[in-house]
This record gives sequence, C-alpha cells and structure tokens, in this order.
Amino acid sequence: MRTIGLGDRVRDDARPARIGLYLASAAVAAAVLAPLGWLVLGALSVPPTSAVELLTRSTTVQVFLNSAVLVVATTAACVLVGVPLAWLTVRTDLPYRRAWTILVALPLVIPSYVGAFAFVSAFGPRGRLQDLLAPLGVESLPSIYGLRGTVLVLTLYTYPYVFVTARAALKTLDTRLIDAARTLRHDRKAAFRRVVVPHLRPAVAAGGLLSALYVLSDLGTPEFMRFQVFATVIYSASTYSLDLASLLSLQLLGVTVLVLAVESRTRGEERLAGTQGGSHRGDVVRLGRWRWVAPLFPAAVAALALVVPVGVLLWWLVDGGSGLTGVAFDPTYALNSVSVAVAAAALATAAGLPIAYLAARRESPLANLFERISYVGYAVPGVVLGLALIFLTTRTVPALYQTLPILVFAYVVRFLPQAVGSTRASFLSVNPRLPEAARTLGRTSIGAFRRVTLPLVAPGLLGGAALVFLTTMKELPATLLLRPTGFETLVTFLWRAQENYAYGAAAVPALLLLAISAASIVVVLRGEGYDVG
Amino acid sequence: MSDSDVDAAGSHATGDRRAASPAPDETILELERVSKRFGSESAVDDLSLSVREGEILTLLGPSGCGKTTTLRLVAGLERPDGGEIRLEGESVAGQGRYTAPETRDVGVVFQEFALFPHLTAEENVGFGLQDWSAADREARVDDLFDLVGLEAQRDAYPDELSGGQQQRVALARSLAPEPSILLLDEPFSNLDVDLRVEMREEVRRILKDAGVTAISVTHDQEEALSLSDRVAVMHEGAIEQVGPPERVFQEPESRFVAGFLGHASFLSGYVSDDVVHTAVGEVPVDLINGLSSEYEATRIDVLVRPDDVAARPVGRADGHSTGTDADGEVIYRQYLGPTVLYRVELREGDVVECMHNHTEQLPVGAPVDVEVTADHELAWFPKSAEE
Amino acid sequence: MTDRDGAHRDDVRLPSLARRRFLAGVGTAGLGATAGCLGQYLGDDESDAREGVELFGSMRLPPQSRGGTPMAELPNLSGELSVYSGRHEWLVGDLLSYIEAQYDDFSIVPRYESSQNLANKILTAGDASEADVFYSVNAGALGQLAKDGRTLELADAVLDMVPAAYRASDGGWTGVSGRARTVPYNTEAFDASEIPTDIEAFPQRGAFENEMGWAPGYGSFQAFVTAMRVLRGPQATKAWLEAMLDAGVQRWGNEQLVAQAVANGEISLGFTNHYYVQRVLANDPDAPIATAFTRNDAGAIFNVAGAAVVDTAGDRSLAENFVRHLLSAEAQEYFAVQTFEYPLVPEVEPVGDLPPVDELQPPADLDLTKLSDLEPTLELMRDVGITV
Repeated sequence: MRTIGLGDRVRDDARPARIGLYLASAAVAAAVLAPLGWLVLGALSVPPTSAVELLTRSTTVQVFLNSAVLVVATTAACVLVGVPLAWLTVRTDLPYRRAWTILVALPLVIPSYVGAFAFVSAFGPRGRLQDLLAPLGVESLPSIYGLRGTVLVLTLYTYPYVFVTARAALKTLDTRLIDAARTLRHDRKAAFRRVVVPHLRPAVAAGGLLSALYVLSDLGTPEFMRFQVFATVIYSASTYSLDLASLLSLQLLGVTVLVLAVESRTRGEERLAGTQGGSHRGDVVRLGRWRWVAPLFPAAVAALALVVPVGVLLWWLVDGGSGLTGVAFDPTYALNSVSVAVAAAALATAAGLPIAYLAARRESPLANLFERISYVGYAVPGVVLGLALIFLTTRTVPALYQTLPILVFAYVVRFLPQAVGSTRASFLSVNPRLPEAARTLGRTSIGAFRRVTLPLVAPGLLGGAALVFLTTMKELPATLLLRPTGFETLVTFLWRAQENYAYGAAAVPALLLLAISAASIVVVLRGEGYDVG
Repeated sequence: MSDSDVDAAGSHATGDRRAASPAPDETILELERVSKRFGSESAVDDLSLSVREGEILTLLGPSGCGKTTTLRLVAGLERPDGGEIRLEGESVAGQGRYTAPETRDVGVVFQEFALFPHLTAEENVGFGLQDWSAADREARVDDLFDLVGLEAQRDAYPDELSGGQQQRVALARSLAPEPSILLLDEPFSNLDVDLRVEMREEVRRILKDAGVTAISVTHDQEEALSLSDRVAVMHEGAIEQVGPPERVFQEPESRFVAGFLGHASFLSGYVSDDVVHTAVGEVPVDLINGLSSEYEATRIDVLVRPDDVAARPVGRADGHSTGTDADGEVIYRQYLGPTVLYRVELREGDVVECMHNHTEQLPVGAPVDVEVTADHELAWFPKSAEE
Repeated sequence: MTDRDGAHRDDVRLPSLARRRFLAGVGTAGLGATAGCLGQYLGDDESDAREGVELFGSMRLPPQSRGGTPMAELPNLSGELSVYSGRHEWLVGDLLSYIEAQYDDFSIVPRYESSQNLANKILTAGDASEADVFYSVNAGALGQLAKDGRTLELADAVLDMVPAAYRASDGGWTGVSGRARTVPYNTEAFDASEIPTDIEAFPQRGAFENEMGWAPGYGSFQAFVTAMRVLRGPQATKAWLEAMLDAGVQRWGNEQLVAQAVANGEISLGFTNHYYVQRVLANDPDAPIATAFTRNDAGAIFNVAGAAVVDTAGDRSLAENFVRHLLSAEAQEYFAVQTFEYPLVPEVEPVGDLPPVDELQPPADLDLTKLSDLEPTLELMRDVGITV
C-alpha cells in the first residue's frame, strides 16, 4: 500500500520561498562541512615526511589495531547478544515478554562512560566487589581494565541498537516463510539459517553500524578502562601536539568510512518481500522446558547493564566519600547541561527544517545531496569534530575559541541527522492534499505551511528535538574540547570526578544524568510509537 | 449453475470414481475424529475424513469453518488436541505422537505463495532438495519448470513475477521433493478474477500430470466444483458432506450445504397423494429425489435453484392493482450481464430466486407467476430439519 | 589530563562555604569538599597525629604562627589592576577576591586564559598592552616575556622573600608557589629506606618490576622527561624510558589516578606531582602512601607558578605590591592548604609530611624555562613506543 506523502509532485508557484529554502539548506550544509574542511587543511599543513613518520610509528599502529579490534569485537558481541534477545522476545513464548523487552532496551538510557565509571569502581582492584569478596579469601579479581573491560562495557551499552533493529525486522518477518521452509524438509534451525537470517541481515547491519560508530566515537569508556584508542589519543594529543591529533583524526575518519562501507556491503540487496501479504505473525516457537531457563539470559544482561551502575551509584550516594578534596557538585552544572542541550535541540531542529522539507518532497538531486551532507555529523566522532572546530576557530576567528556558541554549533553539526531524520519522516506523513486545501481556502503557501503543515508535523519535530536534547546531554569529547573555561556540565564534572578518583562526588550528577536521559527517552519513544508488544 | 457446467467438471481424466469414500487400500490420508481448540474456541471438532491416492479433494466452507486449521493439522504446523491423523498408514499426529512438518511427506502451497524473496525462482524451487545431489537436483528442477511452463523465468526474483507466475513457482517448489500429499491453501484467492479460471485448469492439469494427491481449501464454491474429484463441505469445524461435486451440488445433505453451493431457495410444500402442494403449483413426487411414502402428509421444503424456476409476468402493473391470483411479486432484480436474477416474494412468504435470460425484463413490483421448470430431480428437506 | 599549559589541571574548586571561612580568617582547613568530610577528620581521635591532619583541624591558628608576612604588614593596595592569569579562575579566583576585599578602593580586572595565550597577547600587543601583572602557571611563559624585555625588575624586598632558585636571576619574575616531582610509594610494600634517591636506579631494582606506574600523557610528567633530556641528554633519557618499559611500568590517564593506585596497592610506586599524594591522604589519612623524593636529578625537579610585572603596567608600585601580596602569609597558606602546592616562602610550611621548600634538592643549574620545550620530548617518547 503506497503511503500518500509529500513525495507526490505538487505544482507550486512559490518560487521565492523555494529559493529561500534552497539557500537555507545550502547554508546549513556548508556549515556542517566547514569544520571538516579545516581539519583536512590542518592535517595537510603537517609536512609530509613527518606525517608519514607519525602515522607509521609502532605506537600509532598499535592505536589503530586497538581501535580496530575494539570495534570488531564489540560489534560482534552486540550481535551475539542483541539478536538472540530479539528472537526470544518476538518469536518465542518467553514469559513476561513485554517486561523483558523494556528492560533489555533500557541500557540505552545509561551513557557508556557512566557504566565504565561504575564498573571500574565495582570491579576494580580496590572496588566494591573486591571488598565484598575479600573476606571470602578472593585475593584479586581478573582485571577489569584494558580491551576486555572496554569490550564488556561498550557491548552492554550498545547492544540495544542491534536489539531494537533486529526486533523490528523479526516483527516484519512473514512467518509463513518459515512454515514453507518447514514443509520443504527444513527443520527449525535450517529454516532459521536459510530464511530468517537473510531477512535479518539488513537490520542487524544497521544496528551494528550504530554500535560501531558509537564505539569509534566514545572517549569516556576507553579512557576510564585505560585502553588506548584513537579517541583517547587524539584527545590528549590535542593539548600538546595538534599535528598528531589532526593526522590521527583523519585516520579515524578513514576507519569510519570503512565501517560505513562494510555495513553497506553486509546489508546486501534489500529485496522487498515477494509475497503481497506483508508481515504475518503466525506461530510462536514453544520453548518447552527451556521456558523458565531462557529468561536467565535477558536477566543476566539487564543485571549487568542496569543493576551494576545504578547499584554502584546508589551505594556511592549513601556511602558518601566525596573522594578527593575540592571536587564537589554544584547544581549549576545541571543547569549548564540542560541549557546548552536545549539550545542545541532548538537550533538543530530549526536548521534541519529546510533540508528535511526539501528531502521529503524529493524535489531534486540537490535536495538529496543536502540531506546526505547533513548526515556527515553522524559519522564524525565527537573528538574529531572538536578538534576540527579548534582548528577553525584558532585559525580564523580566535575570539570564538572555547565559547558557548561554538560548543552549541558542534552539537548541532553532530546531531543534526537526528533532527533531519525525524522531521523528514514527519513531513512524509502529511497528506499533501491538506495544505492544498488550505491554499484553495485563501492561504498563501507560507500561511498554509504555518497553519496546516506545521501543527501536523509538530509532534515529530518535538520527538527529534528531544532526541537531540538527549544525545547532547550525554556528549563528552566535543564538550571537553570546546567548552569555555570554567563552564562545567554534568558530563564534564563526571570526567573531572573520574580524574580525581572522586567517585562519591559523581553519584548525584550521574544519577541526575540518568534521570534526565530516561525522561527524554520516554518522550522520544512516545513520539515514535515504539511497539513493545 | 446449469447442468452442463457440472457435467463438464464431472468428466475427469481419471474416470468416474463416484464412491463417497475410498477403499482402505487406496487411502493415503486419514483423519479420525480430529479436534483442535484455540483457547476456548473449537476450530476443528471431531472431524473424520479419508483421502484416496491420486485424487483432488477440496475442503469447502465459509471463513472460520476450520478448513485452514485442518490443512495445517495435516501439514504438521499445528498439533491436534484429539483424534489421530494417519499418513500412508502411519500415525503422524495424535495418541501422543507427533511428526514435525519437515519429516512429514507433505507439501504445502500457501495462500500468498510464501516465496522466499531473497532467492530466485530456480533457487526457490530447489529449496527443498538440499539433500539431493547437485545433478539430481538440477534435473528435478528442470522437470518442474517444464511441468509448470516457466522456463523463461528461472532467474527472476519473486517480486519480478506476476501473480500467476508466482503461483506456478510455488507449485513447482512444493512438488519438487515428491511429497505424498500436496496441500493448497486458497490457491487462487490471490489472483485476479480473470486469471483464476485459467489457472484452475492449469493447476488441475499440473496436479494430474504429476499424479500427486491434493487437498485444496477454498471458500469459492465454483473453484471447488470445477477443480476437484471430491468436495468436502465444512461448517463450524465439522464436515457436513463429502462426495463428488455433482452429488454435493444436486443432492445436498443439509440446508447449509444446499445454501453454500449456489443460490438456494426453499419452497414449502405439503405432501399429499403423489403431489407436493406448493405456493407455485403442484410438483409431482417423482420430481423430488428420494421422497419416500412415510413423508406423506407432512410439510417439506423443496430446494430449487434459480435455474429451476421461472417467473412469468401477469397482466400489467398499473397503479397498485395486481392480479389476484399472481403467485408473487418481484421484490428485487439484479442485472448480471448475460443473465438477470430476480427475487420473487410469494404470497405465502417464501422467497425464490429466478435466473432469466437478459432479454427478459421484469420490473420490480411486477406481479408474476412462478413455474418450476426443472428437468431433474429436486432435493428436499423435512420441515423440521434445522439449518 | 593536561590543560593547555601543560601544567596540572587543577581540580580544586573552592565552594562558597569555605570561601566565607577563608575570608573570615585563614589558617583555614576548609577542605573545599563536603563539610561532612571535615567532621570526619575533626572527630576522629584514632587518627594519627600527622601534621597534616592536625593542620586541617587547626582552623583557628592565627597566621603569625604559620610563618611569613601577613598582608596587614604589606603596603596597601588601591586603584585598578589588570591581572593576566594563566591559572584557572576556580583555583586562584578566591585568592584574588580575598586580596581585593582587604582594601576599600582596590579592584582587580582578571583575565583567565592559558599562560601561553596570554604571553602571546602581551607580546603582540606591545606597548598597547593593558596588562599590569602576568601570573603564569609555569616558568616557561614568564621566561619568554622576560627574554623579550617585557617584564620589569622586581624590588629586592619582593625578591628576597623567595629562594633564589625559584625566581629569575635578573629579577624579572618571581615564583609564587611550586610543585615538586615526587615518588609516592605504598608503605605496606616498601619503607622509606628502600626508595632510591637516584632516578636512574628505579628501572634496575628487581623488586620494583611491574610495581611502578606513570601517566605519560600528563604535562608535568612530560616536563620531567624534558628535564632529564636537558640534564642528561636524549640518549640517556631514551635508555631510561626503555628500561622503565622493560620493567613493566603501567600507564594511567593522569597522576591523580597513579597516586590513588599506589594507595590502593595496585602498584607500589609512582611518579607524580607532590600534591596528588596529599589529596589522597586528605581523603583518607590512613592510606598507606607516603612521599619520597629523589635528589639532584630530573626526578626532583621543582616547577613554579610565578608572577611578573609587565612593562606596560600603569601603576608600577601597585603591581609590584600585588605581587608581594601573592607572597604573603595568607596567600602562601592558601596555596599550601587549598591547592596543596608548595609555598615558596620558606617560613610557610607545606601540608603533610612534606619537607619545607628549602630542604628539597632539585637539580641545580636547570633553567626552568626550558621545561616548556615539549616537542623533542614527545618525539623521544614516541620513539620508545609510548603513545603520546
């Protein structure tokens, strides 16, 4: 069934408005690309010989390998965790499916660095767990640091991406295909392999991509777990060696592009279902005697991902211990976080409007190009973007260096895709006959937009804004690099607390961050009508 | 439906096996007192059926009557709550036993074909042959494409094929592993109307050429009557009647069966001497199929199909005056192109439907006489019989 | 993690509660952290009578008994003073406010940026510079200004307050507070006599294998390696680094974590600035950690934060007197107790068990301004396989 949307060509005689839209979109696209341009320039200003030398050093190669292994291992782990969980909650008769679905998706609320923080505190050499186990004679726990711990924490907080996309794919699976396979001499396992897996592949690739991009961009987790990857090295090098920082940034961008390419290949050709019936959710796999054992899997995952951090944070809260001198939480940090996130959300929504509108109408290749460009920020890690903006401001407008406008700009560039995506979907769902009707009733095209289209897309806009708000609140690397001196947010305070081993002081802001995060996710999911069934 | 149509459908290539149920050594599938419940609802209730080798049997009934459930039980996609299913003499379900679909020798053509979208037609057809050697598989796939006549589309993906082509691929695919029984779930409902008639013939030919036993499920009585060797009419989870199409059509054993196949009108009548007195005249008892003498002096309902009766105009309709002895009045008229269907309300309240040639035009409200013009035996039901 | 200047990113912030205490009267133990912590220390009879703990308890010790010249004895300040501060506002802001509050018609116009940026600004602005006082976090930027002749020689009265090693030989600038490189060690693993006083010895001791930790990404550590490079040459430095890696030294993100790791027992030895150890002890006086020093080598370098009067100062004597105020008993006490730095005025004692500044033995003849030349040091470290 073809959804009626703005894709239908509508004859429109408002040329000036159209040109205005194009200009606005072009401006936004240029703004998004500018920082990267400066980064490339900055990297190119490094003399080639020293550039080659810096890049081929064993230390650089080690960092590259670390990052590569981290991404591959984490993504693989996410698939191994997310797909079975999705299968369990969609295709079987697992008891309390709905509750498990919510619980298992909940780790999205927790920023991974908060999780890392908590894990180090809990499982570190002098952590809570060690203290608990010491009387039992357990001398030391296996080290939580390094690759192992980083993979564990990152997997726990990014597997929900794969879980959600795999679920969506399983729900659109026509189970009669499985029936058909079973009538063709395939048992359930073989049917899964030959029918369900090809169906799942695009969705799992998309979810895995989100996870991989997150891993490449994350600064907090590898830093807390003491594992050297691109993000951590770029961040520390940005203070004393811009050359190295810019070269590594380019390298990181290259890896990101590679990841995008791999995902594109893995997705395969998306063939729409040949059967006209669409999805059919027929039989449910009976777990039989596994029915009461199976919930242990989601329970274990949820316990690790949710209970450990929240438990640790609450413990800190109750047990006190502010850590070291002088690190104390101030409520203005929360205010700073929120105000800057609100600004970013508003600006991103506004900037995304012209692009999303033109893209929804599928007007021209140019409109599509603008939309593609707006997705750049999605693939550029926060630390790289921060660095690029440092270059841009210090070399052109030094007055802007480390000021609030630049910080907000960085957020907008980075999270614009979320606003554009959500807004575009909203526009597509508006029947073009409605503004047309308004035009026949005497409104100008702008008036029709304002009185008819805008109110209809408002919920979607709000959802997109909430998403930008949420991710801005949690953003770490760009914030650290670009914030004005003395401007502390919840996130920078957490970073500082970690640097100062002041775990107790981190309890309140971390819990605040979780609460705000959870609230915004509710808003986002409401807007998208997330199906928990 | 005219008799000639039924006759055409009745002349089947494999000869005239008119027996209502097969001999024991010919039975390939047996359902014995099978029942299935979903929650508190009973989908299949104490159903018994035997299917003989090589025949095409259709389960016919309205939606919700349990025919698809029965099919799924035979395929092994559901487990019965009671009763037993035996395939080629061996029990596959019931009495605590259960054979999974992948090991039952049963093929299924699904209503919407369920072709694997990520595989080509050729790969779809070869899907169930993964245990065969490559050479054998290729030969078999060749044979099947030949059988269904789709050589040219071997490399196409399902979304590139038309509805009819998809159906052929689905057929070929399910026939490939040489199943003992082929189940077809509403095989034509997904096709355009004009395609259906053509495909019915095609599918019947393919099934007979392949020599496979087939059970088809449908709510379309025309399809059931034209496609099958035997028809089983189902209603509310049970079989009301099973037999060759002509028998089921002409000698319905219940009002439901009568009404489900073709239009049915019931003329109330009173049996007296050798005549049934009806509102439209007297019908000789000889014309009533199997009306024995013990029904003398009882009231019965005679089944008349629209082509069994005709409406004759009486006088002219001016103002509100009608002929005082007109049998009834036209209350509804439906122009169908080649024919016109009239609904006449008789004086005593019965309503009969009459099918006429399109050249005859009777306006609504016209007083008419109704005449029984059937030249074959009519079915009847005792007045006390329930629907 | 380093800040832009390569100096320690001071993480102390003085909340208003302690600010009031400070304003009220000094000698203050305001830990800056939750008052609950303070109560914990004050009320703990079991804690050993370490000087540091007593210090925190001695809120009411009058300044005179702490040593140094109180502000009351210094010349008054009046007028407007433009202070370019390379030190963070939340580090020194309260000190500046305190000084400002002592005088009725005195106001400070501060500008907080990285020391390097500010030095550049002063240099590029030339005569038009508005800066009166330049307060830098390290000697490098001060040296740069002095070399370009942009600083005015300070009066002897000022210079005499601070040992010669910690000010410019030509009097162009003076150190105000300092940070010493130290070797924190775990007292349950080793005792004081087992810690070598020669930095070269560390990678050679078998007992130290896999027991050492450092934070090579950190500015002060890089300054330490630079000092080694300047004093002993690149080859020897490279050899030392390689030997350390062979001895299984472990890496942390910053020196606070290294100090904490020593206290936790994860490692037994570390290389950190002195105040990190103090902060660990402030949090937990019973922590099994103590501070050791090497002598006369790069491992003992003492870097200073200092101030200079800029040649474009409007009121020269005001500027100079302000600098004197930075060396006052209250200010030095502030550095000792709030930021745990080393007061440079010998009469003011540092916190904890630390030896006073004139008992330290940093390497002689090391030009502190050279410590800002990081690039060759980073190259060296990368050559050896340390990711920086």
